[in-house]
Amino acid sequence: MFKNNWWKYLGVLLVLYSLVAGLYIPLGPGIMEVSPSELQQGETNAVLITGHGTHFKDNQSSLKVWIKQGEKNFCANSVTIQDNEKLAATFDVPVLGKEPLHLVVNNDADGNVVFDNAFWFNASQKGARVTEVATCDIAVKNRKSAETSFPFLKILFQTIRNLFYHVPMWFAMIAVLVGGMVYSIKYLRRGRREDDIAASQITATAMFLGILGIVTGMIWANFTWGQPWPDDPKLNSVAIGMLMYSAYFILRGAIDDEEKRARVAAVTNIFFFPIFIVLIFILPRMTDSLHPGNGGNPGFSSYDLDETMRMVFYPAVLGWILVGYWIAQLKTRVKKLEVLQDE
Amino acid sequence: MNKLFATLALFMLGATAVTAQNEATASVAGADKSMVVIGVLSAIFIGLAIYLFILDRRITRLEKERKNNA
Repeated sequence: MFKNNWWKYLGVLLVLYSLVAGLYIPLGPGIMEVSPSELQQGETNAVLITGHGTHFKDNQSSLKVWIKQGEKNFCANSVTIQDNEKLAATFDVPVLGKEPLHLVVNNDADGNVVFDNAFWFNASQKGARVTEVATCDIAVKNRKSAETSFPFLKILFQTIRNLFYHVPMWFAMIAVLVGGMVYSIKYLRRGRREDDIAASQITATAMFLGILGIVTGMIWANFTWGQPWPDDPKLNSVAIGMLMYSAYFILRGAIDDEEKRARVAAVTNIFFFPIFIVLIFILPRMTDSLHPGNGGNPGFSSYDLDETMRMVFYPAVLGWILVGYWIAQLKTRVKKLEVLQDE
Repeated sequence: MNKLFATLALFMLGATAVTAQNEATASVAGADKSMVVIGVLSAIFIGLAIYLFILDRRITRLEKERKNNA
């Protein structure tokens, strides 16, 4: 029993691990807001910084605050800590170039907490009082958060965890589709009826996973992109791909002759798979897409997907692939029993 | 028998989830009540997995019966 089914147990364990770890590991520290977000050039600026999950007060001694512009850094000349998530800092800001301004807060517990494009600056500089800025020391002990945590990203915030639940649906769908295609090829080679049944049931399971992917994606998109179905090439491609595969099932239903149906379905299935891959992976990359990894947007893997994320994400993908194959196998076996019953 | 076992297992899981939640509120300050959500989700998923295993075993039994009859 266990010898043949070990991969099913493994799949369940991996998914369970991803559920627990993906929710248990906290979100890392980050900066929610700075006010004002406009810097007066050539003046001394007082800025109020609001963090989230940060430890400003607990690590007062190691706290450093600076503004980063390209290679230049402007350290805060005074910092007043209100509590763990609130501090006020004053900066001497000279006349600045056009490059974006980032804010960095560092302490030993939180590591580098970066707020990209934190400030913009006023266009006019009347009577620049501050002309030169002293070099400042930005050597820090920890660049990374001391606590194991997921990265704090604007817009996503806590929903970054959805990466472990939404994305594996698609990975599992594609992995299961590959299985369906393999059985279609097997059918064409050997003409065995069992292979045709397996191909159809595996493809049906892939459709089920795809629908779960669409539904979970719509819930996530509604929060992060403002609407459940934004005008995004990846979404539209996936919709076309799913319709294509529903044509596969309509085709199966339309042909009465068993052998003919199996052969036509097998050929269609083999042709649909590369079209589907082109639709969801290649075409969205050629235009602008909201999805990471497409059209100018960096993929999660380039810098957002840090080690902690990988630790949960890869097991989740593998786990869902295994569970997907398990469901497909059960469906195939039931269908075989049913078909044999009819004879 | 299987069903009884599965139900008992789920109840035990529920009980562990409850204790886990109490510990979480007592000690881990930053974890809020996310333990409750983790417990609920785990219970649902383990329940589904048990269901799949039972289904698997039933299909195996049917397949064996077929083989013997044939």
